[in-house]
Amino acid sequence: MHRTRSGDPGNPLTGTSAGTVHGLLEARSQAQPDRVAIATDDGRSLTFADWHRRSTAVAHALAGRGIGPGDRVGLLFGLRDWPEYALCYCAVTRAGAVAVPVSGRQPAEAVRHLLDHCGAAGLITAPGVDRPEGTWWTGRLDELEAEAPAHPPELPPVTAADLAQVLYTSGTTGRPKGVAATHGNLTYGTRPTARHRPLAHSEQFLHSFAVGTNAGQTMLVNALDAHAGALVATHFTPGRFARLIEQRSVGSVFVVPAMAAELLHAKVHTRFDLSSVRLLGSTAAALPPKVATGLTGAFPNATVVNYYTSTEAAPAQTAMIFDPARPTALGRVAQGAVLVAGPDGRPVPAGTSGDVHLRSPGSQRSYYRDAEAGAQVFRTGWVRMGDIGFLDEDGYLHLVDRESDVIKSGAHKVSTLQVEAAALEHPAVAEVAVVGLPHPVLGMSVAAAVVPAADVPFDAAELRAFLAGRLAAHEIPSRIATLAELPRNEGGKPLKRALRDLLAAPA
Amino acid sequence: MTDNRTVVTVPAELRTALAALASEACDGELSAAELLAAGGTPFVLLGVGSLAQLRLLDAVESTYGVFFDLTGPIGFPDGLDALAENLVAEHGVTPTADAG
Repeated sequence: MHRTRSGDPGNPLTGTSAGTVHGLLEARSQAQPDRVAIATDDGRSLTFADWHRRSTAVAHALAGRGIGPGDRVGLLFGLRDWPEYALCYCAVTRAGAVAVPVSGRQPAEAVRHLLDHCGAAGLITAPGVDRPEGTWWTGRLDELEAEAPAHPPELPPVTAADLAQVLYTSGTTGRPKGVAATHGNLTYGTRPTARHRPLAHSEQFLHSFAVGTNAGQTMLVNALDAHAGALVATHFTPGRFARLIEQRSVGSVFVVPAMAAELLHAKVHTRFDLSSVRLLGSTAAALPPKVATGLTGAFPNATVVNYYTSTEAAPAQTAMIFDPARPTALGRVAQGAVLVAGPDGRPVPAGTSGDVHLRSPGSQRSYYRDAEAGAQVFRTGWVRMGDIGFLDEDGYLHLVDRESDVIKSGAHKVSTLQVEAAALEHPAVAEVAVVGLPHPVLGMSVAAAVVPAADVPFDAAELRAFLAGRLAAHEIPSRIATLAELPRNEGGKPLKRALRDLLAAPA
Repeated sequence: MTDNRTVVTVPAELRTALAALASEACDGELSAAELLAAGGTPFVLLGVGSLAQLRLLDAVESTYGVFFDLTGPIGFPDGLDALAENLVAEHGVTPTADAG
C-alpha cells in the first residue's frame, strides 16, 4: 500500500532469496531480530527472528513431506491466527512452493473447491479449524515444527520470477478465480535494507483484514517492509477497534469502507481518544465521500487516504488524500497506469465514462488455470476492473457504476451467479435472481428474488440455513422476496435493474 | 438424574431491551416484536447478517459493559434467547442494574 518507489535492484541478499517475500523476512531478521513484526489484540506476537527461524524450520518439514518448487499449499487460517499464518506463508514460499491463503470463515465446500482447482498438495490449518479432506495431506503448524529435521538439506533457490501465491476472488463467471502472483509482483517497491521505511511515524499499524484477501496480503508485505509492526484486531467491532487505537496509541490504521462507516455509525470518536492516528488508509472499495468527510472529523490528526486496486491489478493502484473539493474522486494513479476505455478498447476522452483498467508497474498477475476468464480481464498488460468510470481533466478517476454480475459488499466481491447457483440447488427454489441493493455501509447488500417451486413450501429462513452451508456469510442474501415470475428481457435474461427496484421497495 | 444445564431466568425487560438493540442493529429490517417472537431462531436465519450481528455485539458490549470471548467454543450467542441467557448466566447482567 505504500510502494511509492521502484524495486531495489541493489538488494544485497544471498542469491537464493533476493526479490522474494521470504527474502524480505531474512533481511529484516538480520537487521532487527527482536522487533515485533506481528501482534494480535489478544496478546500474541511474533518477532522477525522467530518468524524467520520457525518458518525456515517448517520449510524443511514441508520439503520432508515432498513439497518442492511450484507445488501449491493451502493455508486455512482465521483472523486470530495471523502470526501463525504469516509464519506458514513464508515457510511455503521458502520451500519454493506457492501459498494459497484461505480464510477460516469460508465454508468447507468452498475451501475444497479451490484446493481442488489449484491442485493443492497439502493444507496447513490453524488449530481448531476443520480440515477439509481431499487429495492433499493436512497438517498443523505444531505438527510440522515437530517434523523439522535436525540436519536439514539445502532448500531450493527461489527467484522473483517464481509464483508466490494464488488468491481466490469472485470473478464475473460464477466460481471464484485464482489470482496468481509472483514474488516480484508482491515485493514490488519494497526495499529490504531501507534506512527509511514506510509508516515511520508509527510503531504499529492496525488492521482487521482476513487471511486470503488482497488487503490482508498487503498487510503481510507491510509487516515485512514497514517500520511499524502489524497489530491485528482479531474480531472487528467499532468499539473494540477504537479501544485498541486508544490503548496502544496506534499511528496507522487500515480499513475497508464498510469498517470506516461502522466506526462513524457507532460514534466511536465520542467515546475513545483517536488522536494518535496519523494515517487512515481505506482500501478494497471506493470510500463514499460522506464517510471520508466523517473520518476527517473523527480522526482529527489523520490524513485519510483512499486506495483503489484489486486482487487482479495489484500492485497497480490509485491513491489520494481525501480532498473535499473532489469528493467523488478516487484519486490519481500512484503506481502503474490507469486507462478508461470504450467498447472498442481504446481510451475515451476526459469526462467520458468507460471500462476502468489498471496496469501493474511490475510483473502482472494472472488467473491460475483459467485462461478463458483471464482473457476477459487481463488484456495486453491492462487489468479490466469491472467498474465503469471516467477520468476528469486533471487525471483523477471517478467511478459511476459496476458491472451487475459481481457486486461489492463491504470488502467482498460477491458473484451473483454463484449465489444463484447455490440457491437453485434448494428444492423449493424454481428460479432465482440475485442483485445488489444500495446499502449505506456495505455499498451493496445481497438480495434475492425467488420464484418458489410449485409443490414445495418455501421458507426464507430455511433457504438461508441451506445457503449457510454452501456460501460465506457475506454472500447470504439479507433480503429475500418471492415473486410469481422474474422480469426478463426478450432474450430471457433477468432484468436486474427492474429486480433491484422491486427488491428495494419496502416489504 | 438432573439436567446439567444451568437453569437461567431471563428477565422480560432484558429480552425486550435486546430485541430493541437487535432491531436497531439491522436498521429496522426486523422489528423488535418480530425478533422477540423468533427468539429461538438463529440470527443468520432471520436475515440478521454479519454487519447487523457486529453492530449488536458492539451495542451489547458497550451497553452492559461486558466483553464476549469470541475465541471460545460458543462465540457470540446466535439468537436473541441465547444472547439473553448468556448475558445473565455468564456475565451476571440484570437489566435494571447495568443498562444505560
